[in-house]
Amino acid sequence: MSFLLMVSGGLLQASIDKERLKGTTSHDSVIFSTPQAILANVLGESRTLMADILWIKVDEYFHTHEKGYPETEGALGEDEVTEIMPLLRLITWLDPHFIRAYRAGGWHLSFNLNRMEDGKKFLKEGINNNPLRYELYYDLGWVYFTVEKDYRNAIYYLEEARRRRVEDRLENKGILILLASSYENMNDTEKAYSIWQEAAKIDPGDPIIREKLTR
Amino acid sequence: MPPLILTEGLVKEYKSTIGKGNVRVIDNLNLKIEEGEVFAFIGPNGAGKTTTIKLLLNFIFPTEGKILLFGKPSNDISTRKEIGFLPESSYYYRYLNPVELLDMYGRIFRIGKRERLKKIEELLSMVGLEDFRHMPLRNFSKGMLQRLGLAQALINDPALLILDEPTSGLDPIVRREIRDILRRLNQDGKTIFFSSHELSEVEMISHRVGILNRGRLIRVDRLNELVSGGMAKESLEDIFIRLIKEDVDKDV
Amino acid sequence: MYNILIVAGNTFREAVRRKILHALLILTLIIIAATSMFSFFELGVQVKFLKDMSLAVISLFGMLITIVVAVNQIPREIEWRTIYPLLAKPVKRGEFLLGKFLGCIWVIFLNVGLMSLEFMVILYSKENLLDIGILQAIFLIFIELILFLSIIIFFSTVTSVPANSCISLFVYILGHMKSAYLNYLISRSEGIKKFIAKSFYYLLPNLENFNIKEAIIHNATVSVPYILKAISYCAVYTTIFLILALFFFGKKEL
Repeated sequence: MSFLLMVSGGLLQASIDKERLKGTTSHDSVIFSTPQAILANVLGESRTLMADILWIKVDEYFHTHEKGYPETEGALGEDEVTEIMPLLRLITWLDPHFIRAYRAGGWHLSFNLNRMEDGKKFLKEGINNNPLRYELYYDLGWVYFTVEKDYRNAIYYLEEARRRRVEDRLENKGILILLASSYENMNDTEKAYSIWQEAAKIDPGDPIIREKLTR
Repeated sequence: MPPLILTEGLVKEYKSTIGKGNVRVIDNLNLKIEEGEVFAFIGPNGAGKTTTIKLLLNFIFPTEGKILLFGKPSNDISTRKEIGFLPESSYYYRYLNPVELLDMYGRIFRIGKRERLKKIEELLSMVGLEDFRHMPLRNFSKGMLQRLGLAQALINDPALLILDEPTSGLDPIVRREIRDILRRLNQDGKTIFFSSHELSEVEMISHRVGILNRGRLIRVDRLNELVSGGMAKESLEDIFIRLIKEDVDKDV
Repeated sequence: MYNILIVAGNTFREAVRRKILHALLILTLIIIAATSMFSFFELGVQVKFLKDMSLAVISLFGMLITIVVAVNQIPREIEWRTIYPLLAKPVKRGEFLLGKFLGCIWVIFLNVGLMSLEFMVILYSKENLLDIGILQAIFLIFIELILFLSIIIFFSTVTSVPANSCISLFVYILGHMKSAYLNYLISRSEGIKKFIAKSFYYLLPNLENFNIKEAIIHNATVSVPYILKAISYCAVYTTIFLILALFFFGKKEL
């Protein structure tokens, strides 16, 4: 009887695995760690907690550069960015779903440290671990649009971001603005116009959007 | 009424921890305890008294032989309804008090609440623990625990009491109290099967005596016949020592 | 059944009076309360940190409490001989063991419940809404602890207390790690090695099935079918370990 129960356990495990690794386009599906994160699994339940603790350290760097901290006012220096990069790397190893860490790391690698390929690779890793979230598609689209002027890839990633659920109104607008601009740069004015119209529904008073629609 | 305890050809062996083969700790034990008697089971340390009691109550399992309680196999759980057991130097649940402990045991026997509470008061009074009814058992002395043990053995008003060294390690006053209780219980019709080292006590309360040595029952007899059949002015202790020596010499 | 409840009630009563459990519970409550006092610059991060920390603490201390409560249940009864007066009464060994198991579940439920209540109150004060996902995560932690408890009870019938403590801790860690490690082996093996790795993966209990913390922390939802599958998984393996425990305890010489 124990053996029969073990077999049922095995069948249940297979069914549970399907559920845990399911990838759908709906935001309302389950997000779980990828089984390949062996380091993360060794640390068990405490790993995401350690990621949080490391993020506190990273958070200090960002916010002591806000206004009101005269000693450290201004952008992060290259040394400081270099210091936080390993922390961001470690955070994403511990918690592959720590979107903020991927965003911060992708940004700093691409813009502050001039390591474009590393930045894109980092963001793509984040996308791989979080295929249902929009943020890293948006960020990667931004990198292709702004830095590389690679509008084809920008469109690809921004469309992927647009396809996912975007809760933040401002970010949603940002995606549409960048996407419309990318289509314009690819001389697809019809597509661009329809996206400008979509952006106008979110923020009809935005001057850039109004200007684009009146042209 | 069948014998309350009947063993036939009872054997218990353990694997030897040194060398090869098995160690026979109970060897072809044939025991018969009738209703209404007080049977003392005596023997030197390591003779197998506690092992026999554990076999009777199915705490350990025989290698060979048969054990019947009230005519039923010893692993029949229904036999427990008529048995009260007092283990040797037993502890009870430290965080409970006497009332909670006896109440728990009483519920196992499906004794109704009102009757249970009445019984608990009677038993605590009988064993002299009524003033300690709410004291946690971790604060009890050895004597108090032993008296409580007797109370829990009687919660179901059993026909058969099995007691493993009921007065072991107790002071003379408590020993006397327990002896008096046992005498009264027997007068009320209870059968008592007990093991003991205290031969003077055995002489005071037993009807029959069984002498165990190295797992073998070397002698079973009525107490008065055992003592009167001995040499002149021999006490039970003298007879006991003599019989044990003879048994040892026989093997040599 | 009634005897099982009697033994369970006694087990519960005894366990809740043990000072070490009080200490563990109080420590957990302090940690959860202290976590809520961390101040960050963004509220979102603070709430994430609170959820992360509290769930990790409930899980970790829940595991410790389970070990403390259960590892000694049967061996201590045998060592102190409290088992003899009980089994000399009309109580079957199986009823005794299941009563111990049920009593321990009640203790775990009480402790996890109190920790969770504090956590939910603090979380409600910060977010002003009841997070169903958190309730799901806590529920599955509790279910996991039931399975873990059955493993400890089984080992307590065949090993000593120190060995059982070590084995149980090892089983807990392995139960969370194994899927990652075995999946790694499966993906890199061929033939018989792959078959063995797969067999181990599917036949040994996987405690990671009950870990939905990541999903909850990242505000995803967990489907009801998943919860039901996890409960079924727990039921299957708990039954296996209890059957084994009943078998070995039935044969055990006391």
